[in-house]
Amino acid sequence: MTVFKGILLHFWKYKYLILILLFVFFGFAYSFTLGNSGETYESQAMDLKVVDNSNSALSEGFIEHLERENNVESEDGNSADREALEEEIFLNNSDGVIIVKEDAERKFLNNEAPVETISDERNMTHIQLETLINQFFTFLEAEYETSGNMDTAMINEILSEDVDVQMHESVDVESENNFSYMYNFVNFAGYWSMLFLLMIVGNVMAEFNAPELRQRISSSPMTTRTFMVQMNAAQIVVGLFISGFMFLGGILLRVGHLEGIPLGKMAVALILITAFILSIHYVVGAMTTNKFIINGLANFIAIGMAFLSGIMIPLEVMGETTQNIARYLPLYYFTQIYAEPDISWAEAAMPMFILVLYTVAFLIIGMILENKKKMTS
Amino acid sequence: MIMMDKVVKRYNELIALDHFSFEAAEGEIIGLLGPNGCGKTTAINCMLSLLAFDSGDIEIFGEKVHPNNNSVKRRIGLVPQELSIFDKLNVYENIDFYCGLYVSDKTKRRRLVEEAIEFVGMDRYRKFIPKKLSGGLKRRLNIACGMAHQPDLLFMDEPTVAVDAQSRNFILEGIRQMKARGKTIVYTTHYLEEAENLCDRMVIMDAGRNIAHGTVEQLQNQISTQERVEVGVITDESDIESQLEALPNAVSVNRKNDNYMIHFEKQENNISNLIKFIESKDLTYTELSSEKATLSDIFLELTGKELRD
Repeated sequence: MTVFKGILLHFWKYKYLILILLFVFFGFAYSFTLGNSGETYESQAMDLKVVDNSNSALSEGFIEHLERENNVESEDGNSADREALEEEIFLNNSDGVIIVKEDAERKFLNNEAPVETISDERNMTHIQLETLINQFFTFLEAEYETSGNMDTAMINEILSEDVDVQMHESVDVESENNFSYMYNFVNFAGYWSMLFLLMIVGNVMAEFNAPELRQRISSSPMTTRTFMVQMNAAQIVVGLFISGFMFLGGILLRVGHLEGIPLGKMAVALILITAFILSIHYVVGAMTTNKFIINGLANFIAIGMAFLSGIMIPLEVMGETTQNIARYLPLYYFTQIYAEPDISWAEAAMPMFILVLYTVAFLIIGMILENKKKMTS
Repeated sequence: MIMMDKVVKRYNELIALDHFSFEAAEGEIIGLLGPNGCGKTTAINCMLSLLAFDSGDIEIFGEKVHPNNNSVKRRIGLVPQELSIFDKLNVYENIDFYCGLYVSDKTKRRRLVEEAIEFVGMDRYRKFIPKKLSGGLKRRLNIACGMAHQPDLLFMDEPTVAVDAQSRNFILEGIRQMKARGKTIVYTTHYLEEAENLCDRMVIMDAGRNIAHGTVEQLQNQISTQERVEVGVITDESDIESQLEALPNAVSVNRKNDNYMIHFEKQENNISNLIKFIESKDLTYTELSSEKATLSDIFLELTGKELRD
């Protein structure tokens, strides 16, 4: 067990780096917990300018709607200078400028935009302004379709009414929240394990695989097979320890909020991703013992795969091409193992199997490279 | 103990060992000498089964060597030319790791590691990691890692390269002690003086071949120069060189600044003959020194090159 213990002793020498990486990981994970405690919606009174080119009942009603909770400055259409208005936005003097188009009523009836807005799209008030405008015209459209009239007074009355809403958190909603948090947590743990193991295992094994040290070990009575078994066993122990620590840490962070989470599948997913990461490391180790290259590759592979597999950003928001690429990446199958709260073992079996296949494929590549290296030495 | 018979090792077109043969007996220190790239390390790697060879035979302890012959490997130690120590492990842990490859019994290993630490004089540094050690101490650690399991046969590949005088003396003294304990040592070095003082026999290698072997005396007998005499004479005679060359046993004369270097093939009354010659010519000599043929002369004459070529 000399090599096994020697490698574990090496990992122990990296204890501070391991602690820092775990500390950072749980720091992030804890901040997710805080962010997950509830959602707050805020709106603020905006400073708006309205240029009324229509001077119609619709525009009057619309301005009244805007004035209800905002500071509105109306301007006559004839005196408005567009460049000056845009500059207002640029200088942040106003949150938005709304130009009510000439003949706005007819435009509304013809499904054309009756108003035009100028605002800074990078600013949060841009969304608030768009919502405010859409709110008015959506109600107006509904009113027109129902009664054939454009009764702006009634619309404003409806929109000014306050309704007390009491949110009832059903068990399903809570379970969904629990799952959502843990899904993101395991995604993050998968990425972190990848970065973590490729870096730490990579650095330790780079030292063990240095040719002059391997030469000395090879001259001893220890057989290559014994050496490989002990080396891999030590890496697996460390990998499982790290993944297990992250997984149990995740459970501890969410004690009391574990309903609706496929914990078993998540645990298996983390074990499989650990095995997969070690197989990648085997390939990297067969290619080089240069620590700089190993660290560079660790970052490149971990971040690249995590990004393309939907671990960092949900795949749904990415383009079709990225989604298609993701389906060829192992980390995608890692996330599929626990993709749904009620996923069955039968459903999870396929992504598990594919992840195992990837692991085997990388092991074979590693063996080929290792043999090639031996033959050329 | 070691028998290497006509071993050939090729790297594609390059012949690293060309029918190389040599033998070493139990309890002797045998020096492998030769310039860089002459095949010393390749020969050692073949003996250790780290390299497969193309033809020939190698036997150690009466058994043929091959990568799975663990009974032979168990009795061998290696001190490689390059430092083969773990940067992250301290002195004790490094020695313990390598000793553990040979000795599984914990109690025995602890004793052996302690003995190795004492042997290389590193008791004060047992908790130091290699980064904190001087070059000489790292070399000592490298040696301790190779001999902690107390092998019967130890290969030492340039163990004194780039070490300070104090560490070198310590290492050489340690090697003598190992010999006194009956260990066999195969020693490669660039330092001829070191080899002369330490080795019982030497094998001179060039281009993968054993071009000469034996004790220093036996090697000296294989070359024409047996004695070198350097003399400084004050004279206007232009043919003094040819007159010196005519002395009994003289082989060649070279001018060295104001002095003459005379090579004699035998060590028989060369100085007295030279003094008689100077007196007969009524010349005055300013300097006179004599030196037996050194390993450097032997090497130069046998290979046609300096050891560091």
